Amino acid sequence: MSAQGLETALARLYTDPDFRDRFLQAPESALSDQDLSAGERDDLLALDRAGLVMAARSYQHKRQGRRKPAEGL
Amino acid sequence: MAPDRVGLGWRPGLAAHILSHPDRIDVVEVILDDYFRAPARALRSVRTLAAQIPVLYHGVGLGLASSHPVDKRRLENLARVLDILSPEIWSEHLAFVRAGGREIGHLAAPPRSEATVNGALENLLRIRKAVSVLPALENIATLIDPPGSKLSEPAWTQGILEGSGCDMLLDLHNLYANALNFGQDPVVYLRTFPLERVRLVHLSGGNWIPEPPAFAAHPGARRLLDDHVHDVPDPVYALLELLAEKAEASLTVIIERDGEYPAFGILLDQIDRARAALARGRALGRSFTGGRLERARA
Repeated sequence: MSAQGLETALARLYTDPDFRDRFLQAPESALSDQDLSAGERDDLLALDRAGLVMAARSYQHKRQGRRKPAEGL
Repeated sequence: MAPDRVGLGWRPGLAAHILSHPDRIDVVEVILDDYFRAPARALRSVRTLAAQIPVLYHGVGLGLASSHPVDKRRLENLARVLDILSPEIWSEHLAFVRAGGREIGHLAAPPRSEATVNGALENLLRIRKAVSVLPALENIATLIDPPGSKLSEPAWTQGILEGSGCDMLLDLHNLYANALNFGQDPVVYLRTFPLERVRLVHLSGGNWIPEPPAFAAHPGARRLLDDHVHDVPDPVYALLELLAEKAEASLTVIIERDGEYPAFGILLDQIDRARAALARGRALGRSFTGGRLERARA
């Protein structure tokens, strides 16, 4: 279950700006209610912060420009 | 061996141009997810297209490289569309796109661990039950080195390909971007992937973006974003040449362009450059193999 918890925490970091800001300012506190093993918590605490911010911005940009279903070709 | 092929990603903004140049474009690639909620006439139009030019099918939203099961409804939609289109080959990404009820909205790199290798293999079993034909699996670009990763990207990819028997769709710009963003030589990095499994190739372009100043490794640090709205850079053609030298199977190469379209002639020129890179690589591969055989006979 915990492997799923790590992906869930990552998805939240990518998509929830308030959670991401809390994580960047006080990471241990932000992760306190996440379903993570001690090792996974350490992995997240050592996370590539520049990459996190860049990836989150990129995903937000993609969500805003999402394609519509095809009507034809 | 069947000849290598080169084509374009099918996009509505390029459709008329593609259909006007059947002599220059061997194949097109249609995005499957665009048709999950499409009316029947849209799927009929894809079948009509496939009668005019070879079509590959590409999924973008399954999120199979995850310890979470793939979304059941999305898999049902995929199965319905693939049943109608009956492709010989289709592809999906080695990515996770949702977790814990959250849609990330794009392809995210999961932690490269035994858990996600096993999760991907379980998801591929679910996919095989639903659609019978397994996808070729594509490497993705990432701006973040995914936390919790215990395996290198090539080792993680190989674990999934070997465990599933899937072929690989090797996106050379994704590989190029990941190599540059995380301190690898792209040529060395390419050689570490399971090239014997590659059947499909994507080429695209990207843009350098600055790291946020608060967290930048050093002033001016930047990373390459794979954005599909820039031309294929020269080093990626060199990687294609090397791949063609090493690959054992026929390759089908798709150039992906998702917007900011240049004059169509520029895209046709990129197709020609890809074709030329393949030809050079194949010639090098033959001369190497021939030389080795001659040495063995001596």
